[in-house]
Amino acid sequence: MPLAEALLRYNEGHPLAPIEARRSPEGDLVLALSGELEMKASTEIAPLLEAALLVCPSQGKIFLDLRRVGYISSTGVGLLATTMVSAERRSIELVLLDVPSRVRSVMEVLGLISFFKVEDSRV
Amino acid sequence: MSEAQDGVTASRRLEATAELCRLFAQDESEKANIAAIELLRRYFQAEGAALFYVNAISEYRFCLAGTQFPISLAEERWRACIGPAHAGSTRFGPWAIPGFGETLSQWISAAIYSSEGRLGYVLLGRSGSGWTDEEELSLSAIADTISPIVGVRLARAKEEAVRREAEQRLSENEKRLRSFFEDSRDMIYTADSEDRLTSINSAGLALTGRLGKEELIGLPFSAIALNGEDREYFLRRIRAEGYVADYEIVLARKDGSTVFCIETAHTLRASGGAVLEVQGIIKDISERIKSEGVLWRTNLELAEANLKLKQTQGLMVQQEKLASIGQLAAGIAHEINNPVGFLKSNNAMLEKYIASIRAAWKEARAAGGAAVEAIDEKSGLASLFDEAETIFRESAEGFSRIISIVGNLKNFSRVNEASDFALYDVNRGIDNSLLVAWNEIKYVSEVRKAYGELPPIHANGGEINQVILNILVNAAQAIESLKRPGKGLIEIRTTLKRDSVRIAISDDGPGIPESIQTRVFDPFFTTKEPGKGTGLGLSISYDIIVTKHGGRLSVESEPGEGTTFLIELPIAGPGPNPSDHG
Repeated sequence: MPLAEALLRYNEGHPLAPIEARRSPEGDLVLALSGELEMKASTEIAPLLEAALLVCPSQGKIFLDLRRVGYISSTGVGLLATTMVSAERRSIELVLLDVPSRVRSVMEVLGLISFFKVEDSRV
Repeated sequence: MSEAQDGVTASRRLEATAELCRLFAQDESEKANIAAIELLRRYFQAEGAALFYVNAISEYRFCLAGTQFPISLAEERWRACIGPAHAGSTRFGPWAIPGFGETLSQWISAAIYSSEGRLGYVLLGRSGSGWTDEEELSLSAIADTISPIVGVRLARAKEEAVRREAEQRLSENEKRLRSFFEDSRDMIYTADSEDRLTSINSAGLALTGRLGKEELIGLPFSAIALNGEDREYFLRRIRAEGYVADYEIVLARKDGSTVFCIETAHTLRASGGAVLEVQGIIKDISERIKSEGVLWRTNLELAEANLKLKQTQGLMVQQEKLASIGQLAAGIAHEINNPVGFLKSNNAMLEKYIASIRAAWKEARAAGGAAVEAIDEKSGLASLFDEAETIFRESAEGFSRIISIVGNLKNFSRVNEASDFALYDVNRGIDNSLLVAWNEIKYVSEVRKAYGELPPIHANGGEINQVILNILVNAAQAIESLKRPGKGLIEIRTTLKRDSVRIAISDDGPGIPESIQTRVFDPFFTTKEPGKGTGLGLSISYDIIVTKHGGRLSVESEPGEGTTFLIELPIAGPGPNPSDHG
C-alpha cells in the first residue's frame, strides 16, 4: 500500500490521534505519531511504517516523532523494534525523535533503548 | 360420668393443655416435643406414647415418651411407623410402633397439625383396659387446641431455619470471596474515587514488593506505577468507558525494580454516574514480556550485525581493489624510479658534454679563420647548440616531473601501507589526487583551485586522497558526459572553519536529478554505464569521511547547473571511537 493511502486510511480510523507526515529541514521523512501506542493502534500503524520504509531510499533516513505519544504498551515497543529491524535490513536509518520520558522508561525496562538512535529536536 | 366428674376431667384437660402451651412457648427447640409427649403419656396414663412430626428443616422425626432425644427416620420408614394413624384410624390395636417399643393392645391417635400436606401425630397405647370415648375425644380436643400453636412454632422454626441457612450461605460466600481475594495469585485491589488504594490482596503486596497493607492503603495508585502518566490515561479511559481490559502497566517495586503487568478493571458508580470505586485485577506478565524482549533484542542484534556485515563487505571489496592499485602503483613507481634516475643523470652528463663541445667549437672558430667560419655558417651549429640547450632544459624539466609523479604515486599508494592516522596536509593531498586523476581531467575540464591556509589535520591521508580522487574522477566523467564543445570547469576550494577544514569540489556537469540525490551514497548505486563504475565509490567515501573520520560528506546539486561535493573533516581527527560513529 502506498504511504499516502496508508496514512489516509489510518487517520480516517483515528481522527483523535492522527499520524502526521512532514519533511525535516534536510528533506527526510518525519512521521509524527500521537495518542496511545497500545495493541490495536500498534497493529494498525505497522503497515503504515512498512510503507514508509518502502518509499525511503536505501541509506536514507526516517524520523519517528514520538513527542505526542501518551502511552506505549509492549506491543508498541515491539512495533518500534520490528520497524527498526526492517529499516536496518534496507540500510535505512531510523531515528526516534523527542522520545517522552514515559516511553523511554518502558523501552529501558525492556532493554531496547540502546538499539535506537534517539534525537532531541530541541537540542 | 357425672357432671362433677365431667368438670374435673375438663379442668384436668385444660391444665394439661395449658401446660402443653407453656412448654411449647418456653422452649422453641425440639426438646419441647419430648416433654410434651411425656406430659400426654402421664395425663392419659398411657403405657406407650409417641409424637411423630416433621421439623423445620423437613426431617422426619419422632419422640418416644421416656426417651431423651428425638429420632430421625427416612420419610418412608416414618410413614410406615405411623401406619394405622396415617391411614386415618383413631383407635387400633394390638399394635407396636414397628421397631420401637412393645406391642400394646389398644391405641388411640390424633393428628396434631397439618402443614404442606404433612401431618404430625400423637399416638398413645395401653394394654389391658382400652380407651374410653371420652379419652379419645379428650386427646382429639387437646390436639385441636395445640395444633395452631404447634403450627406457629413450626412456621417460626422454618423461618429461623431459612434465616440461619441464608446466614450460613452469606458467611460461606464471604469466606469464598475473601479466599478468592486473598489467595488469588494476581493482584486484586480497590481504589476510591480519588484513585487512592482502599484494599489490596497479598499477591498485590508481593507484586509491589511491600510487606504490609498499611504501606499501600491510602496511597494514590500512581505511586506504585513506573509512569504516573500511564495511570492518568488509564483513569481517563475507565471513567469514560466504565471498564478497561488488558491494559499494560509497569509497576515500580519498593526495591526500585520494575514489573510488567496487565490490568483489567471496572468501576462502581453512584446512581448519578460518579465513580465510587475502581476494582482491578493485575497480572504479572514479566516472564512473557521478558521472552518477547529477548526475541526483539535478538532480532535487533541480528539486523545490526547484518548491516555491519554488509558495510564491511562493500568496504573490503573496495579496499582489496585499492590495495591492488596501490601495489601496482608502488611497483611501477619503483621500477620507473631507477631508469629515470640514470636517464636524468645521463641527460645532465650529456648536457655538460655538449656545453664543453660548444665551448671548444667557439674557440676553434675564433682560431680557425674563414674555412671554419664557413663550416659554422653552413651547418648552423650556433642555433643547433641553442636548440640542444633548450632540449636539455626541457628534458631536465620532464625528468623532474617524472620523478615528482613517481614520488606522488608512491605517496598516494601509501593508502594501503598503514591505516594509521597521522598529520595530513589537505591542500597537498588534493594536489596529489589531482596528479593521479589528471589523465581523466585534462581533456575535459579546466581546474581552478582556491586553497585556503589550512593547518595539518589528523587523518588517514591515503583514505582522504582516495575520496578526493573519487570525487574528481566523478566530476570529470560528469562533465565529459555532456559532450559539449569546450572544456568544463572543476573548482576546488578549501577553507578553514573553527575546528574543521572544508573541501568543496564543484563541477559544471549535468548535476544529479533530485530523485536520486539521496541515493548517491548507497552502496552499488551508480548511474554510470556498465563497467565504468562499481557504485561503491561514494559509499566507501561516505564511510571513510563519516564513519572513520567523524566528518561530513554531503552533496548539493542543481540539475543542469552542476554538482558540489562538500567534505568536512575535524582538525583533531575523529572522536575516541570513530567506528561507532554515525
